[in-house]
Amino acid sequence: MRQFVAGASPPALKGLDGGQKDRRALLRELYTAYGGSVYGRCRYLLKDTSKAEDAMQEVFARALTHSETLHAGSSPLAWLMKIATHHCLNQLRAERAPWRRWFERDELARPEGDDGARKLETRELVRSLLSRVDVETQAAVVHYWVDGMTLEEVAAMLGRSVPTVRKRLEQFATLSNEELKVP
Amino acid sequence: MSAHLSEWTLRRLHAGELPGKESEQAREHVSGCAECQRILKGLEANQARFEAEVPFERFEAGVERVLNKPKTQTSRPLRNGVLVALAASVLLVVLVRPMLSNPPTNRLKGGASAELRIGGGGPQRGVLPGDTEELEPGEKVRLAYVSGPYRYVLAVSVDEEGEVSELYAQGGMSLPVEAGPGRHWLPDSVVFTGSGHERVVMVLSERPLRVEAVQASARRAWEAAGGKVEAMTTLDSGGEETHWLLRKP
Repeated sequence: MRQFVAGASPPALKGLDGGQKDRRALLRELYTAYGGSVYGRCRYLLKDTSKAEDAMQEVFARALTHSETLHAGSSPLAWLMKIATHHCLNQLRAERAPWRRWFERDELARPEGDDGARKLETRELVRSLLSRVDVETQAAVVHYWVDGMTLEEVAAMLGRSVPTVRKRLEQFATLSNEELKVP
Repeated sequence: MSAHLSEWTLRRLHAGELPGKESEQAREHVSGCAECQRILKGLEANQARFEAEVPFERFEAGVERVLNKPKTQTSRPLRNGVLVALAASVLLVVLVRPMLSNPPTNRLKGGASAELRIGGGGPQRGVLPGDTEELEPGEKVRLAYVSGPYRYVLAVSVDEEGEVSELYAQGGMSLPVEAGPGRHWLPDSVVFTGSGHERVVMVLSERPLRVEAVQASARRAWEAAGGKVEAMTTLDSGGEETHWLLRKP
């Protein structure tokens, strides 16, 4: 049985003796190393600074209560970005109607191609099409096109094979008229 | 393939989590690569913007608020009794008859199969194994199987916190399957409380399995999936498993 209510000497803080002070130190480390990335992910997907901040807080609260799993793998960044991505995608899914409207509006407002801002536009294009695919494909697409992970890194993060991830990305590419073709 | 470092590698370098040798190599590359330097600087600027926008004290207070938020609901599934079972049966007969000819089942060896069906709220529907299905408020779940060569059945569920609940078992062991060919519905229906994902797993086996052992396997699988119930794969329970992922309202 996991105890999620913090403050009561959470077992999750294994390796950090003591209570509030050490938790504060851990939180500051996470803030300095990963805050910008996680907040950026939440803002990118939720498009609302207030919601993004709330979502980010949820992610880091989870990091504190699951610090064993956070540090179990080789990349806490991967763990945090995965949690943040899923959290935001699920939130958008729960707000289904606004999500559709949000992305439809984005799609209509999408600017013409601009080589100087190609990367930014890729991200906007990804976002405008996300609502058309299932959650796992959404996660794969975000990690590949937004985080700049390789196919192998996405596959490892999602616990899927490389061919499966490639297939999902290729299906997504068809929605973008192959603009987001996987090399 | 580009000679540049992947953006993800640069993100990890920026976060200071690349292991020693890899970090050295990455830094060496970055020192002579204008493009990678530009990306790294962008990541640094991103962190600086974040720190300016959300000072640590506010960040910390927000995280503490989340941690201290009372948990309002447990997420244990509730087996409903006769009333719900009857309601579900009525739904089955009245609403789903046309769907029964082609139910979404999981074909296992020797003609065995497993099926999960949702009813009691929105339209009654089956869920394909491996798919994620949203539950509407008040919806209930029923499970069925065709036993084929298997003699025992057991079902558990795992919530987002890794809590493993027994759904169908008897005296701490698998249930003997019902005699006869064709589909057998497990009794009653199940209501999942709480919110978030819930993974339902049915295990058909040739010998009875101990519920405790399956629960322990499920717990290990949850841990192995990084605490993400959505990412869990096999439980290695010793039987033929069918998984469904539900998202509670």
